[in-house]
Amino acid sequence: MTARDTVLIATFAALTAVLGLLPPLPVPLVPVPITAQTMGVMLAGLMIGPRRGGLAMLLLLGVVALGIPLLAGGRGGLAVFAGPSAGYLIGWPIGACVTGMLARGATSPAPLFAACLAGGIGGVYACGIPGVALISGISVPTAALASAAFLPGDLIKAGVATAVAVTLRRAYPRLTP
Amino acid sequence: MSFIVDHVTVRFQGRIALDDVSAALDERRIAVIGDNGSGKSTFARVLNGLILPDEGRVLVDGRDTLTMGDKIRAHVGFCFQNPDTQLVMPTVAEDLALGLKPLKLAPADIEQRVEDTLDRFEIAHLAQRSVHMLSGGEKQLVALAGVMITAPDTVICDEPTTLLDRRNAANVLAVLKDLACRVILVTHDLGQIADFDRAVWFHDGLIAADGSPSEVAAAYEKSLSGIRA
Amino acid sequence: MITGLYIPGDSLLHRCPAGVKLIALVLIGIGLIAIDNLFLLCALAVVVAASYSAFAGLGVAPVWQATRAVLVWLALIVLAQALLAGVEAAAETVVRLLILIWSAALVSYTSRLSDMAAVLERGLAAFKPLGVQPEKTAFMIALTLRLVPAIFAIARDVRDAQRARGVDASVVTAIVPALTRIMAHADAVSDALTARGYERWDTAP
Repeated sequence: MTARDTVLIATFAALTAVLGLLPPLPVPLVPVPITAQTMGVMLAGLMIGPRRGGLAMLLLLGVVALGIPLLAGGRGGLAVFAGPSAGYLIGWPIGACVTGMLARGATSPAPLFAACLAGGIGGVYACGIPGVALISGISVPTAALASAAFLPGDLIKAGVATAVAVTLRRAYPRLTP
Repeated sequence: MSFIVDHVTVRFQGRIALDDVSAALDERRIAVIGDNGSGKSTFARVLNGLILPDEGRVLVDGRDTLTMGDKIRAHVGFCFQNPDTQLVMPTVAEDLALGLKPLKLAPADIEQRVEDTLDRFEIAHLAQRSVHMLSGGEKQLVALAGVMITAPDTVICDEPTTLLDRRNAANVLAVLKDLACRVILVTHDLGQIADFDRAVWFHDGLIAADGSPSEVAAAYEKSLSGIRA
Repeated sequence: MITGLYIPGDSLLHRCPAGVKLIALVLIGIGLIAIDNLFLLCALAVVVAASYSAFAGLGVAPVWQATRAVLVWLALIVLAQALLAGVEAAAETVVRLLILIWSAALVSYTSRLSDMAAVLERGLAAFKPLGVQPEKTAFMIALTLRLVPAIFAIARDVRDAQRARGVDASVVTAIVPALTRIMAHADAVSDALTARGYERWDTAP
C-alpha cells in the first residue's frame, strides 16, 4: 500500500469521526437533530473510490472497536457493536464501497446523487434494518419503519455530499476513478 | 553522492513547473532560491524522486529516480516546510523511531538510536512529549531529527524555517548548518545562504543564475530593483 | 483531544489479557442466544452490572454511561416489542441487550488501546497470505488518531474565517473549503511519509 493510499484512508476515517464530533443540526420533519457523520460514508466513496473508501470506514470502525469514542455523541468501544445500531455500522464500509463503484467516471450531479442514495442510504440501511430486527427481536418491517425517521436527514446529507463531490472531483482528477 | 538533473521538464495541470532544467550538484552546501512558483520546490522534489520528471531524468549516484526512487530515498532525507505534516506519531520518541522502520533493527537498537539522536539535537527532554504540544520550532527540530536518524548522505530542506518565528528559524538554521552531511536548502531568504558553497536561482521554471551565493544574490537583488523601478 | 474509553485501574479484569476478555465476550454472546428464562437473564444482568464494582473497581457510573448511549433505542424497542409480542418478550429482549452491551463496555473500560491493538495485530497476522499488512494497519490506527485533531482544527479555522467574512458558517458552507485544505494536508503527509521510506517498510532491509 502506498503512502498516499494509507494517508487518504486514514484521512477519510478521521474526517468521518470529526463529522460526528461537530454539533448536530436540526432538520425539518425529524424529531432528533441529525449528525453529519454518515455523510462521511458517502464522501469517502465519492472522493477516494470504492476500495479506499471502504477501507476508510473499516479503519474507523476498527479504531472505535479498540475503545476510542469517535462515533457521534461520543460513543465507542465494543458496546456499539453489541447494540441495536451495529448493523448500520457494518453497513458503512459496504455503503462507501457501493457509492464509490457507482460514482466511477461520473461528473454530473445526477449519477453522483444516485450513487449516494444507493450506497450511503441503500447499502447502509440494507445492513442496518436487519441488524435492528435481529438484535432487538422485532420484525424487519417494524425495524424498517423505525429507520424511516433517519431518511429525511440522510437525503439531505446525500444532496450535500453530491454538491461537494461535483466541485471537488474536478479538482482531483487523478484521485477519483 | 552526485545529483545529475538531465533536461528535466515537469508539468502540473498544463503549467510548466520546470522547463528543460539541467544541473550537476556536488557541493556540500547548496542553496536553491527563488520566489513562490519559481519551480524551486519542484526542483527539490525531483532530486529525491518525490516528483518524477515528465521529460528528462534525474540520476542520483547513477540511479534513476524513475525506477529506484525508494533506494535513493534511503540515503537522501527531506525536510518539509510545514512541521505539522511531518510528525505522525503521538510522542516524539515514537515519531523518531518511525524513520527507522525500513531498517528492520532490533528494538534495543532502535531505542539506542532514538536516544542518541535526541541527545545529538539536544531534544532529549522532549522524548515523551506529545507531538501536538510542541512549538513550531520544536516540531521542526523533531522532524529534522527524524530525518537525520537514518544518517542520510544528503538532506534536502524545502523552506524549513518559513513558517517559524525568527528565533526558532535561526535555531533550526544553525542546526542545519552544523550537519556533517550535504545540505540542499530551498529558501526565499537570502540572508540564510551567505556561507553556502553554491546558489541556484530559479525563475519561471528556469535556472536564472548559478554560482557563488554573493553573485547569485546580487543578480537576484538586481532583478528585484528592476521590478521596483 | 480524544481520550479512550479505558479507565485506568489495577483490578482482576484490568490485569486479565485483552484476548481472553474478547473470547469471553463472544462466549457470552453465544450463551445469550441459548438462554430464554427471564429470571435467569435478569440474574445474569445483575452479575454483569455488579462485576463493574466487584471485578473492575469501577462503580456504577460507567454502567449508566454505557446504558445512556442506547437509551433511546432501548425505549423504542421496548415499546415496539411490548405492543407486538407482549411485555415478557420485551423484557427478555431488553435484558439480553443490556447484558451484551454492559459486557462489551466492560471490556472496553478495562482494556488499554495498546493491548487491544496488539490483539488486532496478532489476529491480522493470520491474513498475511491475503496481503494484509499488520504493521501498516497498526500505523494507520495511530495515523487516524493523529489526524482527527488536525482535521478538526482545519474545520474550525475554515468556520472562523467564514464568520470573519460575515458568511453564515455551517457544515454545508464550510465543507468544500475545509475538504480542499484537508486533501492538501493529506498530500503533504503522504510526501513526508514517502520521503521517510514508507514503501520500504515491507521489503527486506
